[in-house]
Amino acid sequence: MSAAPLLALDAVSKRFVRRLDAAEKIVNLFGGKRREEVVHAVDSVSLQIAEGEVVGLVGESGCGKSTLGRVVAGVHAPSEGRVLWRGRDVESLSGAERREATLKIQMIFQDPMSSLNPRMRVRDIVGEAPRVHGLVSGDEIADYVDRMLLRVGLDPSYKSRYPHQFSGGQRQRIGIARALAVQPDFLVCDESIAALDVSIQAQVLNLFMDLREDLGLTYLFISHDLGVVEHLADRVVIMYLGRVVESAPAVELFADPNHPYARALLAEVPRIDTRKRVFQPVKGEIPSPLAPPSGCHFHPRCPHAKPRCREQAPALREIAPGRMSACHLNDG
Amino acid sequence: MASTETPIAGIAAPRRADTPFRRFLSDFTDSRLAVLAAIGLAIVILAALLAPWISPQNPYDLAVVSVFDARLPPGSQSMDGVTFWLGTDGSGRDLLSAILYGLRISLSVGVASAAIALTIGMIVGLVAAYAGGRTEGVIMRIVDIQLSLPAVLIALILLAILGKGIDKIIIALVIAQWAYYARTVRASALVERRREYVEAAACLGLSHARIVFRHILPNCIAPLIVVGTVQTAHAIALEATLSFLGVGLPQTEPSLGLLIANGFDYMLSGKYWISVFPGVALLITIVTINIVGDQLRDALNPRLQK
Amino acid sequence: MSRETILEVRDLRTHFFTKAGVARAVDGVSFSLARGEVLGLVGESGSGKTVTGFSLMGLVDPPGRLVSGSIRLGNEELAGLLEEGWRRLRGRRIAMIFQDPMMTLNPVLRIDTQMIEAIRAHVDISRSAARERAREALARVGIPSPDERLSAYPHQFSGGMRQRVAIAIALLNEPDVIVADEPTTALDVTIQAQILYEVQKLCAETGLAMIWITHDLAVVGGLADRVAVMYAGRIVEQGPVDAVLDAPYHPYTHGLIGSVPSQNRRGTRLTQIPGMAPSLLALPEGCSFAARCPRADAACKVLPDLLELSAGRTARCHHPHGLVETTVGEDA
Ligand SMILES: Nc1ncnc2c1ncn2[C@@H]1O[C@H](COP(=O)(O)OP(=O)(O)O)[C@@H](O)[C@H]1O
Ligand SMILES: Nc1ncnc2c1ncn2[C@@H]1O[C@H](COP(=O)(O)OP(=O)(O)O)[C@@H](O)[C@H]1O
Ligand code: SF4
Ligand code: SF4
Ligand SMILES: [Mg+2]
Ligand SMILES: [Mg+2]
Repeated sequence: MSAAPLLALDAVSKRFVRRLDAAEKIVNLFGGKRREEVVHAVDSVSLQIAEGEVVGLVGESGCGKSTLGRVVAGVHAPSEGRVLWRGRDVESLSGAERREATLKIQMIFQDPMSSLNPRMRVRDIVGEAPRVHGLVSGDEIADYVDRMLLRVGLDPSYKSRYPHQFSGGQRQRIGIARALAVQPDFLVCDESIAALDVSIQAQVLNLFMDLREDLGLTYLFISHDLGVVEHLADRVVIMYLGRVVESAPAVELFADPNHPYARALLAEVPRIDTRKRVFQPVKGEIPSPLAPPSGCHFHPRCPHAKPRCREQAPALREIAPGRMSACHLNDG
Repeated sequence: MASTETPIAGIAAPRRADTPFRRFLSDFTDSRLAVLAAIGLAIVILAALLAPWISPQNPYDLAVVSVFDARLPPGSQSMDGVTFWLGTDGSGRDLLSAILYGLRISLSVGVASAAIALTIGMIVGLVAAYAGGRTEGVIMRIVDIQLSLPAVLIALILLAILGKGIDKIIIALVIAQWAYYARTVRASALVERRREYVEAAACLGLSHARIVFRHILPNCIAPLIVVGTVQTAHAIALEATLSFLGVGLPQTEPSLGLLIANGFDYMLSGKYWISVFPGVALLITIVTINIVGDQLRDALNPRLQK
Repeated sequence: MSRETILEVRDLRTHFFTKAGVARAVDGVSFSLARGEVLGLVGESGSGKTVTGFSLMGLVDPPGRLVSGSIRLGNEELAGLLEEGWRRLRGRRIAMIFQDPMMTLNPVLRIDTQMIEAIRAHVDISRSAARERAREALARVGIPSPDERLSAYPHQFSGGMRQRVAIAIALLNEPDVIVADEPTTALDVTIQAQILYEVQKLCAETGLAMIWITHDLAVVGGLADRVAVMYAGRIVEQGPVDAVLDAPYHPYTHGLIGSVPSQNRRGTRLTQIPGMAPSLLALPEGCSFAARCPRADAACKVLPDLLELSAGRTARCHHPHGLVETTVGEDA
């Protein structure tokens, strides 16, 4: 890649701190040992996404996928590191440039109900932002909303209704229309089809693919469903407890995962064409992000763990062109 | 473009063409008692609004009030042949008229103070929930302290400082009650703030003010309405208490509380009606408001909605 | 299959008599289950899977009512039992696992208390014997150090562990049949695989029969012996897993399998089923899939019967896949 990537994360970390409340502070005055709890939801993640690319972000629950997605979309500010939009640090932008960067990155959420304001009609949900930002003039807004609804496959004659009057799949389409209405270049989809029925999932996935084709959108597609990511993504990034453990082109990753966690994860995916298989699960549970294991976070569950893995966190290194992995085994 | 079209025909019509309001109405009318109370309350409010036109007498007009008619029992005739359906009070006013006018004053004081307290509490609560951190901490400490003191006590102290008068009592009631609204709004705004539609609004680059007042606030209205009704009833009762204690309204504008207080002296001499009828009016007002408020709570509770 | 049939359901109908009309949530469901067998019950949300499970457990509450049909467990008829009769059976001969394990677990009681009560509700044994049995059950579902875990509270377990405890409770009295309602849907793939592994072992070792309710065809493919596909309250296709998933008869099954991403070429549009499931309150006459079915024609205005189309395989369709060529072929 010669040009600057559309979006880049430079050693981004996000920590959540649960502060002590007054009662706990008083307990501490009398010798209690309450401490602030810190979750390293995202731990120094670097990532480049090129224009037009679809990057799949996978990992188990609590590994920080949603947090990373929200940092990218500007909902959370990173605790450390920089988010670069077209090569420029988003934090350093202001005024019209800042707004431009905000609008160009939109998010599609998981829960089609809670992501739509229940007290607003569809035409306001979709039309509010373009009107407020003056993207469309007052007398064109009605037409504009109709076009957005058509684009996502909804009948514009329903635009005076409220979200609860639609099915889950339709609500998700409303959310997509709302995002498209501010003419974004980049969509962060956080488990956007997970709450839908199987047959509806296929419809919405197809819509995402059509939009990519027609509008040249770039995606960060967050999902725990590896089948979906394999189908859609050009590149897949796998996270474990806040860190990226492997990043590779989708075809190569699914053909030959490198990181032991990636291998375990891919092996567990139930596939429709493997019948009566004998499940041979990775042992152990997902550790709490409040107290992640030392060294390589995966070592308590890793079948290849060595003493070194307990002490030293492996760096994410290039193991082949375009492929990165964070495992000591790659050191030969 | 053709490829983007998922066939619209395949997408069935959204469910039920209802609005939140119609759903609310059908939920509210589920309880017979609540419907009765709502009707009763409507009558009370109408009576208060229309008092100057429906009262047999203008109780403030000294020309029509005669001391010779004082303390007549219910159903008596006046010297000039007017029937006093509920009797007369100590200064010869028609009690029914006095009650209607008193109701007018009680309700206006209650509604006005509730409306002002609601507005103040709502803004404070929203700011606390949305700002979070230190701002929220400080605001909520003040609210806690305020809520730990009895409202009557606060109002009594304030009135002792401010003196009598409708404006003074409204100020006292507002100060005694805003914290309830602040707490209610903050609680629901905290829940709403975590919803994804608020994050979506942030992604869409909408201003904080717009997010707070256009997105979060409309979703906090339901509990506010419920608390608002109940607190209006409280305000009315509180005002009656204060007037009864003689620190509320001046004698020239008698509210229900003052009417009760005025009649109280005659209770022992068997002239019960002077106190009891204003008392009944007060009771009906407060009880209907509370029943309506209770049913509003059920009808507006999102968790009970299917 | 020559194994002994343990559960035989015939023409089960459970309807909900609501203000808005009668919802025929389960409308003529029949299947049988042999010892040691796993039957996968798949379908989209609202298709009546949970209500089927609840009907088998006698857990249908008003406005729902078991309208007709027969449920034979061993040689006992369950349809028409009174609450007293159900209580005697539930947890002893037939048990249920829910998507949310907290449906089974009481948050304020220790695990051992709950398990011992569950045993002593049905058999008259000492507390220490019951505790021993509880310990064994925990060990059997793969809970490490069961002795310590017995005296923990539910909130001290992770989601996956809680689900294991719920399964252990279901196993306590060695029931003949367990109805599992989407027990792994909310769990991560590695944790799901661990549970599927334990369940698979249990059925093979103990002859436990299981109804595994899910919307995930891949899980059914990996776990079940036979599969029944539900649509709008009826079973539309039933048969051995391999046969059904490889060559489905019913257009709905066909569409469902086709819309799974891994069944499609990477990056292409998914084959999708258009539209969405009809409301149970306004079912069309005839085949309820007709509005979404590419094969629908005039004949489909009449409700098709569930017919045996080949050995051990039934489908409810006038124009099933795979058979059409031979029945209406030109030179036939
Ligand atoms: N707003 C928040 N406040 C505190 N902790 C949070 C917040 N959001 C996420 N976390 C914590 O950060 C970690 C990562 O969460 P998340 O990004 O949601 O993971 P994922 O989407 O991969 O399931 C979790 O441990 C979660 O509890
Ligand atoms: N308590 C109830 N009252 C009214 N209808 C109900 C009730 N429970 C279930 N139903 C109806 O039964 C249908 C099937 O529900 P369910 O068995 O839960 O579906 P599934 O488990 O397949 O998602 C629902 O679509 C609904 O219409
Ligand atoms: S670094 Fe060690 S523990 Fe971590 S994945 Fe590699 S081998 Fe396993
Ligand atoms: S009966 Fe007709 S409409 Fe129904 S599935 Fe078969 S072909 Fe389609
Ligand atoms: Mg998430
Ligand atoms: Mg269900």
